Amino acid sequence: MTDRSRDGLRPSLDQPRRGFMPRFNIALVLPAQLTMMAVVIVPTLIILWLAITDWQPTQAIPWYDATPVWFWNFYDLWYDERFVNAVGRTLFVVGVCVALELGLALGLALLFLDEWPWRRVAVSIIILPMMIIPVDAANAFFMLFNERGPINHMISLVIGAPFEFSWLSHPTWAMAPIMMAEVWQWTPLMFLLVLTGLMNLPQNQVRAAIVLGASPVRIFFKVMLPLLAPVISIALLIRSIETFKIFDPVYILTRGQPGGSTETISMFMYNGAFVYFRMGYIAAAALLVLVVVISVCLVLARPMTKHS
Amino acid sequence: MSSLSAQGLSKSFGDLCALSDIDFEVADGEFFCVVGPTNAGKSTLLKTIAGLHRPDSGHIHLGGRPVTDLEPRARNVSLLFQNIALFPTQTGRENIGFPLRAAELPESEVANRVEEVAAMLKVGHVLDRLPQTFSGGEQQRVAIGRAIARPCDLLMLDEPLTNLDARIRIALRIEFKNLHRRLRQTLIYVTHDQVEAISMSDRIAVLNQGRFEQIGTPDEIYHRPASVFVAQFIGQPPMNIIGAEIQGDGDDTLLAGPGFRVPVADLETLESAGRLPRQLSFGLRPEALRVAKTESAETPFPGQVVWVERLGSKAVLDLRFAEQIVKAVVPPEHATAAEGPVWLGFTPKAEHLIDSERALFFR
Repeated sequence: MTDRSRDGLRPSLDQPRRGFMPRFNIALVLPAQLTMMAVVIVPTLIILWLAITDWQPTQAIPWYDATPVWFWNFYDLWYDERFVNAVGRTLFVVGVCVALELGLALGLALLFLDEWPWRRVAVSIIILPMMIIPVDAANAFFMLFNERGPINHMISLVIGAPFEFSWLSHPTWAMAPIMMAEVWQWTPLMFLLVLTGLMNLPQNQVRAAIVLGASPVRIFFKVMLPLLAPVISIALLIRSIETFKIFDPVYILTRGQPGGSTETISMFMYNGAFVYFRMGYIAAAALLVLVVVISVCLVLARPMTKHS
Repeated sequence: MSSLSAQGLSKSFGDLCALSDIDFEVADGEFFCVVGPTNAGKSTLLKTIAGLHRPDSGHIHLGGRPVTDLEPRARNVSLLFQNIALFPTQTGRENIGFPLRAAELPESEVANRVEEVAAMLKVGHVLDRLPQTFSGGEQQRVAIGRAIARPCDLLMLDEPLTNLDARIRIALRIEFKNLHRRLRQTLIYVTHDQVEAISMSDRIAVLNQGRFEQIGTPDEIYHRPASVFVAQFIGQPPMNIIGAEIQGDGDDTLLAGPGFRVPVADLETLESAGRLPRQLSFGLRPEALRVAKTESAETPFPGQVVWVERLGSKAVLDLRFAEQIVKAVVPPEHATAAEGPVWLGFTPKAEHLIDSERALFFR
């Protein structure tokens, strides 16, 4: 209902000054328009074209001369188990990683809400992983989860028996180190976002809840969390988009192996485009993924419009 | 039995001393007003009683029970903040029900109580809406409802009417008084507005720089102020303070200053009558100043009206007299309500003699 009334305003905003200094207006927006053309529209058009061809750079045909196959690429993708699995796996990784990050970040942020000695130093230590180049972080996890690496060593110390498990070549478990690397590296960002949100909560409402006799748990869930909802939904949105593109840990730790069991969307596209050189097919996959990402974003962005 | 008793409460934030050595008691069912200027420590006092601040020293008893070390929710008090602080994501119903649910009452009881409170405060129509759609008065009423929904030993209101426009303020002032009469709720009401304090409360405490200057009934505070601060804070326009010299003694004691010599009324009632210093000053309420167009036994001293402020039902005169500006209140149609020479008269009261050095009234 509110949307409709807002729409009602639009014509009145558009109507005045249609021809007001047209040249000056064009000059103002031209740089932005050209940039948009260069980085968004032209590549999208190329992708749209490639997606309906079977172009492969190895065939020695220029991309604009490629043979159209029309919608067969999409048909093939629909029945390509490897692609469908990669999409499902990526959504699973997004769901689990982002949820873990949010849970950890909320806990940490509550801990850091009160003033205590060395708090600033502790904050800088906590956000350190975020500063590390993702490839390096992934390499560190490759080292940690090596068959004879520190993780296995520590487990064997705890259980008191030799423990050798090849994490990275186990079809079920290989995903775990990848997701751990992701959570380790990006919880700090979530933490910063949530902490900023918590610190900006109106203190008086929290105080009011305290004097009204609410328990800390009730205050957190009934007062703080609803107030934090816009911040959390933005944090979730940012991290979901980022996690959907997860590449570095997968590339460094497994390259999608064993047997494609850790292949995420970006890994699938990398393999398809730069290992098998099936540009047309992967262009079609990229278009499909774009649709998925936009739908997820719209769903996550909904609470924000509701609150404003 | 007193509902609240505080002994030796002190609280400072770093170098800033917010409360120092506060002692007072509030009787069961009393309407107790704390009045003072901005930054006097009023809100700190309430938050300390509610348990949001820990006092640096001192003790608080509620209904005879020591609560100094208790968590806020174990104290059974309620506090309405100055800035209302309704929960913006909850409807009016959820806001009023919040303290009831916090006390883990059964849902049916919560619903009944919310309806009851809403009916009393006439906010039934906003229960299912979010606070952002409320008018200022509705927000205030819902916040009051939230504060009184759960029965408590002590209800504290921190400048509850400050953010409202004058019309709603006066209406709610009457409602508070009615509410208090109906619930017989022990109430501490904090305000910087002396009119609110005088018109509503059983007793008033005047707080200044973290100390109580005086605690007393509105009449005592107005007619027998303890300090110059109280005398000038309570009453609009404030009490005039005029420097004078004591002349003579016994029954012939006179107060003399530039352009006047007057006897003091009931000087013998003053305990320190025999020990008054020669130099002192005295307070004079603007309405105790007699002003006339002609000289008479009642108005023997010449003065000059330099400014007239007309306030509808009365006029405030700025008079040049005794080498300073003093204020007088007269009816608006009064002959002297125009700039020009006038004649003045007054009879200082014994209880309005001021020890100039300590800024306190002689007793």
